[in-house]
Amino acid sequence: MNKTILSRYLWFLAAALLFSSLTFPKFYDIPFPQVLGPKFDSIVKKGYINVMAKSKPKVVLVGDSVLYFGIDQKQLTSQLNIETYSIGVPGSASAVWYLTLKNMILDVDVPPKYVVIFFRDTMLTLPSFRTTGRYFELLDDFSGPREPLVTDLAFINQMSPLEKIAEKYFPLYSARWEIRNRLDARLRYGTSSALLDCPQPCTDDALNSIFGKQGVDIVALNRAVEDSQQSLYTSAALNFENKIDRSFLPATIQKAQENNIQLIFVRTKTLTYPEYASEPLALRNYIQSLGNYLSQQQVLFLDLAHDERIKAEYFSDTLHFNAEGKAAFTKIFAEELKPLIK
Amino acid sequence: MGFTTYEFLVFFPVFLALYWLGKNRNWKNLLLLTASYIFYGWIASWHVAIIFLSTLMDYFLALGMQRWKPKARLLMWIGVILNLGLLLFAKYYFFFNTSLAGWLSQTGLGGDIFLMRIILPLGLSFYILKKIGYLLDVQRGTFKPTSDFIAYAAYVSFFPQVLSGPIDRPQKLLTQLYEPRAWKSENLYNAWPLLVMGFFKKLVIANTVQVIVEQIFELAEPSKIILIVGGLGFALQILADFSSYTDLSRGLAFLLGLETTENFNKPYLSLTPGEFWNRWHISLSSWLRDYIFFPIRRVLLKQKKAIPDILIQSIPPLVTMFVSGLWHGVGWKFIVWGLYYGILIVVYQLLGVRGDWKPQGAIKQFFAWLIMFSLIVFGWLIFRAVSLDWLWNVLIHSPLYRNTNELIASFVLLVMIGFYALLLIIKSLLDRYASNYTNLYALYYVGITLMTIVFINSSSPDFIYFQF
Repeated sequence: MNKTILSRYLWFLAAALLFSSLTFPKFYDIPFPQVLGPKFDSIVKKGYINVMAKSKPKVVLVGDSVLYFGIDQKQLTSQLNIETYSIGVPGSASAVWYLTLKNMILDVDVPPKYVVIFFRDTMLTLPSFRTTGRYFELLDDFSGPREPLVTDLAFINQMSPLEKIAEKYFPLYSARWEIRNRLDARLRYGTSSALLDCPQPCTDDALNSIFGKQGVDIVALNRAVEDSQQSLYTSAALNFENKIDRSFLPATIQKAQENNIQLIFVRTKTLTYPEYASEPLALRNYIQSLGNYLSQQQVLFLDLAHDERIKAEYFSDTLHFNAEGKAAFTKIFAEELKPLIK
Repeated sequence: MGFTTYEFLVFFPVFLALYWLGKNRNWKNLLLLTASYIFYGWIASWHVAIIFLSTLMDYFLALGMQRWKPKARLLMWIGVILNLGLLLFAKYYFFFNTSLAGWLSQTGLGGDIFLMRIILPLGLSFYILKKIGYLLDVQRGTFKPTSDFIAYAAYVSFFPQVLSGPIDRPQKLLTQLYEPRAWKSENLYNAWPLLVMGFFKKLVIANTVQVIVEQIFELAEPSKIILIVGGLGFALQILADFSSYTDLSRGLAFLLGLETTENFNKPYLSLTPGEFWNRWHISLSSWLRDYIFFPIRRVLLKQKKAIPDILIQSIPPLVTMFVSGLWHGVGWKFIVWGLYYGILIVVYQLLGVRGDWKPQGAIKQFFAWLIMFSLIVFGWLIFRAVSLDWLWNVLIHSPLYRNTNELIASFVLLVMIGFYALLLIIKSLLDRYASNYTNLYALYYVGITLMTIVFINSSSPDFIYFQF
């Protein structure tokens, strides 16, 4: 029985694959063979550039939600007595930060003198961290039409040889995102629109009203946040020497130095390893290597990961500061930054 | 190393070629053992030391039982206690004791601190039961201890089973390792549908539905209607996930010329809790039945005159399901989940409903199924809840729904879950009504293969923490 089904299965499968290979490139507008890497649109988000062009900040801060929830820009500007600007983009990581420097900060007529990048643990040497799925939409906002370095480091370098072959010569695989998105949209919006008279915006509103951050259990949120950070602590991620040359860090430093910008990297505190003693040896070694590397490159490094002034009660979850924490962290950060900027 | 990783995709064909190139069974077993240790130690090599040393211990204890018959019971207890000690240490101490985990990581033994916590107890739970079963069978005289260490070690660490089962008995798997194996085309014919289904269930159904389920169980106070959708979603996710591993495990075993136990048999069609446990995780259920349920029952029956009948009927299922709860996870909710099934079995028994009960008539059967399915879904709510307090709070305080948005969201999520469930239901219908229609089967397998290709590497990280 299985023998007969197997032979028919193989025939039908071959026919289906042949059919998809002939029709999908045209139907989904994909070249054959497919060019490896993502397709960026040609638009770079201008909002940040316009604000910087107008306010001409001397210090620009770049980071993810930790920066967004952790630094009060007005308070910082007032404490330092110089113009600052904060680009805290929730969901961003080293690829977006590199693009922020290259396509936004360096695009303004008068670039800032200092760029401060806020990161956690191994984020700076994980080029593909937060670059796929919905994170790609974010990456696309910061990228130009062609981003060869991002394509190489965040995408092509992460693919196995088999994936590269499949992506190039197998239109069903190359079109998978598109097919999944269409299927997902059909399931998500098709029936609610037809049966409940609730089209896409109405369905999105309904889902967002329930699954927005406000409705999330804090324990579950912490666990989800921690789970999302797991890839920062694998053996491979903690191997600094192996990762550095295939990360955005050298290019970020080079871009800054070519434009006379002093880079400052700030390692933020989290409740994952709040004390030095709780930190795994491998992570400690990684940070030591990172510190040495940055020092050789004449880049400043502020390690606040175990700063005792940053208390546990300042956090709203494992990573993010609450309102009290925001004020306190801004004050601590300003005190640390002041001696470093002239 | 997981079955759905790129590493495994490279590892397995190389291993398979070497395996079948060797003609003699000792070569095959040695290669199987080496491959199993590579597979098991892929994340942290020191895991291999634990499995090797504990296997060595059982091997000598079992031989000792055969040699010194009067001491066999004592040696068996030593083995059982040491195995259980290792399991309890891993689950209840090592799992939670971050200072120990921290110490191990600081000595450089565990860089993957998160994975170290998860993977070790998971594998242990499965292979420790295999080892204990072997010792008990040797002591009872139902299995002759092996002098072939390589075969025994390959049986314990058998890589298709080491992380997620099935928990095959020595009578089933170890005896096959004693025999020479020659390649037969049946190996492939038996393997391919299982492999196709396994990859499909894991990559398409489990991974996709998991996203919905996680979002629901991360809500602080979902309404009851959202909770029900979450329960249904988790029922699908856990079946697809767990049975996918079994399918893949069995498919891989077939390719090695070995036949392993079927672990799931349409469990959600059960009409009674007893039937559910005969269809769900069958290898675990039969292990618990043979090594816990029956021995307790035998002891109680010997005291029949002194113990009321209701206790003789109630204690074995309650203790067995309590142990099942402990085995499944750490924390009160797993104990409550286990006891919940124990109580259900007792209540059904008291109502005169045996495990193989089947009422007359389609309507009665439908209602019996509906009641049992609802009870199963409620059980999964206990299992998947953030905590018992959380579940209690939702059950007592949350309304059925708060506004129209919740009704719309529930409907949308239910449609999504229903779509993925339908893909499995179609397979069940084919098995039941169209088993002779080879073209329909072939088309079904082509459809799910194409879906698997589309879903590889494209799961959307649509979690709430995208915001961060």
